[in-house]
Amino acid sequence: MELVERDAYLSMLAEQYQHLVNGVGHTVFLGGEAGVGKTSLVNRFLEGIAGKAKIYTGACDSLFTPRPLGPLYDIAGQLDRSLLELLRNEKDRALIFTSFLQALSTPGAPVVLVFEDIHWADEATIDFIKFLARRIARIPCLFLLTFRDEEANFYIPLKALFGELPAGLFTKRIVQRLSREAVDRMALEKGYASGKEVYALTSGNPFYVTEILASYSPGIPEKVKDAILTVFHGRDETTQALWEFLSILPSGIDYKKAEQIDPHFPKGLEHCMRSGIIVSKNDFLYFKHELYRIAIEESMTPYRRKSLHHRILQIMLDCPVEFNNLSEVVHHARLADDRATVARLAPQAAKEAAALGAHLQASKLYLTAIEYTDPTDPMLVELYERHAYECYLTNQIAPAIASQQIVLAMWRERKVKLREGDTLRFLSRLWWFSGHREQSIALAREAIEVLENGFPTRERALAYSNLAQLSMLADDPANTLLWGNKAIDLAQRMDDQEILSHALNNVGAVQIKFSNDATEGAAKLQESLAIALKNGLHEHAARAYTNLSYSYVLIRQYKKATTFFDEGLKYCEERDLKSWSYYMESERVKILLDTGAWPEAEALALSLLSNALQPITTKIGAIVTLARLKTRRGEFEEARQLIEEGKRIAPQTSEAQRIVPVLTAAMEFSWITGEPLPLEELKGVEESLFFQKDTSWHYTALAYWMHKCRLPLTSNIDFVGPFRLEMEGHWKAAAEQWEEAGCRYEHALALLGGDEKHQKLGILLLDEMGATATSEMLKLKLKGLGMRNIPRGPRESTRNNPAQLTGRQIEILNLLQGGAPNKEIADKLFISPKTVDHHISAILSKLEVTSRAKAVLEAQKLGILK
Amino acid sequence: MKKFIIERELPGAGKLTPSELKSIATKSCEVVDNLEAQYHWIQTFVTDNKLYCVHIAPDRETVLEHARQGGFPADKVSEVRSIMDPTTSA
Repeated sequence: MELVERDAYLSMLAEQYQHLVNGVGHTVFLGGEAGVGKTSLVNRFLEGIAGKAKIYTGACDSLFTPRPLGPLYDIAGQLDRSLLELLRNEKDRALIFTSFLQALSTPGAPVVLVFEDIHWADEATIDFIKFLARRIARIPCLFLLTFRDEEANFYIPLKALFGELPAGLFTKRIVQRLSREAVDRMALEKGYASGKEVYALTSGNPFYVTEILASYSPGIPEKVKDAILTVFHGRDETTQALWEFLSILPSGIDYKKAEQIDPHFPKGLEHCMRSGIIVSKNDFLYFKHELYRIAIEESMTPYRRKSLHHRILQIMLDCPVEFNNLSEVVHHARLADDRATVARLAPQAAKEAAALGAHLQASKLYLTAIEYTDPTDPMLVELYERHAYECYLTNQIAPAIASQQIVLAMWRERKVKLREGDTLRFLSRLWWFSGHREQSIALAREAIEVLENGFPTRERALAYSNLAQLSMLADDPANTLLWGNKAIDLAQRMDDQEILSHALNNVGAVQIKFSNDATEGAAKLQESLAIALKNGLHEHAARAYTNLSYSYVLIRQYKKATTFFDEGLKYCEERDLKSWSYYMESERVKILLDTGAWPEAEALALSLLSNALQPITTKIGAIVTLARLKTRRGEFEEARQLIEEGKRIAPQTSEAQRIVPVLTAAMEFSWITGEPLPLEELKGVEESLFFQKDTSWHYTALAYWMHKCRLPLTSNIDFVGPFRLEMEGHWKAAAEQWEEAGCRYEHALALLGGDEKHQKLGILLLDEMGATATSEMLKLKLKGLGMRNIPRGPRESTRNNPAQLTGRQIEILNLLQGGAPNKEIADKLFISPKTVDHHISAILSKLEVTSRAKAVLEAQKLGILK
Repeated sequence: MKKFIIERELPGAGKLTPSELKSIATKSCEVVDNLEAQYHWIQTFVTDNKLYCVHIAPDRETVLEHARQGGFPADKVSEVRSIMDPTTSA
């Protein structure tokens, strides 16, 4: 059969196949609505390469919860049967994934691997797809996946997948419906006068078009389904019974089992397969299309369906091998309303799913288990606990809280103190995630009260450290130290490395946040990191890297921050700790902005925001940076919108670390544009956000901008860092510190507080960074004060020079041409020798040379130097 | 009523401070008072890494209930079958 309007897709696949033959693997996603012909397209492509490539196919099924790693079971049977053993017995995902990768990489003919219907994939399968797609360029494999795009939009793990794969390694195409002309042509071929009615009924969906034009009944039926049912009712009783059975089995059925259901079935099959309505794939029987299956399934009465599910369940329960596929058994037990079987098997299926990382499916299965378990069963509390935990892992915070509340009531009734306290502690964490800080702190305190019996228990140490963490996040140093030190003490006595790492992290982070001297806090954070690394505590290590780099950004030690970003991002990337690396990136982007790496800052911020599932905490860093960049560049309309968005989402967290950056960006915006200041918001924050204003970096940053905007400051506050020097009028010392720390923007602003010579230098630096709006505003001010000969903005000629050197860099090149050493250049340009160094390495890299002498030669060649 | 020896694992128990011992004892008494069954806490021997408690209770389950309500571990609960001392040899 000819495929209509599919040539473009087929040639894209052919092209990718050619790359594969040349040794370069690739991933292709084919999306489209049900019936649009994704499978036909894939089959046509596979027919073309049959015999030339090794082809493996797997499918995801529309079960109540899909089987964890279902498609891997399919391909294991075709690839290497020992992989089946591995899947059945091994719970270590990393081992499973690498074994499949190895099997797919064996030399020989190129490999085409097909996964169908990944909108039904369990989370573990999605992770495998991610794993393979990231490494695809290195193996001789074309990875072809199909999905329904309308369903993919609602399935968060799949949506996230597209955002997390590196561009360039994959191609995504949405298969379109047929055009009106194509339907017309097809109708004409079948003897109809026009395709108008068919098109109106089907909107060009190929499956429906084909079913209707198959002329099973005279004329055009009213509904597409009628076309299918007309065929169904035309069959004999055995065939109808077979179809009905097949229609309740989304995973298909093997020949042997079909015979078990009814010995006459295999006989009837012959005919059905010849007409193409039933197809066979890897010894399993399926309807030719899922839409066909559903049409038959929906035509049965609920009673008939239930009895068929019951029948198939009995056959599965009699055959112990079926327990290999618990998801399928649970699916049928549920639809057969066999409560005892669901209650018995759902927890097992959930445990298996969780072990393989399919947490979303595990949460669904635990909920089912709860629903079907006798309310007096003592095991119920464990099901609720596990449900809450799986929900927590998959960011379903409201249901997690609901289950955890029930758990709390149960332990209270049974008077089991340790469990009651631990449940309160976890509940406190959940409320924090849902953005309710006060509720969260109240529960954390209650947990400690319940566990306070003098007996050193792990539960109590965890409760202490939890309250310390919440206090740290709320910028409450007194309570962080109080509870954090109790946790450290207890953890040390019990020799519990995990709690020790967690507690040291909280205490260290708060010490940096509230001090002029980061030494002590940094030492604690480093210790926390060392413990986590030594004991393989990945999440704790990720958190330590995050808080170390975060803290150094906060106290404006950009050079140190960069070291920890580099190490931390590498660590998280290697271990797929995505949410941590996103969060770190959202902090790193601030450094890119302030040091003048604007194109990188903009690209990174936009890529962080392009992922709609990003949590608020990550979003704010990106929004604020982008807003600042647009403000400084003079793109005020966009900046205004970003600030508004920040103001809308930041207060939900009630945390200074989210609210202050938004407000300082808003003040900077007003400072540059002269628009009204966010006075209302500032008042609220001044009054109620801070537990301690003295020595607080967040409060100092806020006050610094209030000072710049000439707002009155609360007296007698102990400010910190170069901010303080600047506010007290020590512009020179402040400028030196900013420069030393690598903060170029702040360095320039501090110079503006100095004498005329340094003010001009500040303007130059701002221009060089691209902060034209900042510099224009300041120039106007200086002019107003009577200054003359203010430097102009970057000249067009330098902006357009071929190597993109800045004016300052060309000045330095000029001096280099004359053979000046660093010290002399520094003196001439009023900058430190370190900054000269920084410029020279930028010059070398822009000109792609390795020495100063070569840089001068290259610049002369390019006409930059005369 | 029966007599039980309860072993509670507690690394570093020998270093518990007097105020910690006091809060453990307070909690234990509080739980005893709240139990429905008759219950007597006789004595506890604190060693380096373990507590050995002597309790009198109707059954093992009540001993475990006391531990649960107090939030104490009860790693081993053994019923005392007989008691002897030097006078037993006479």
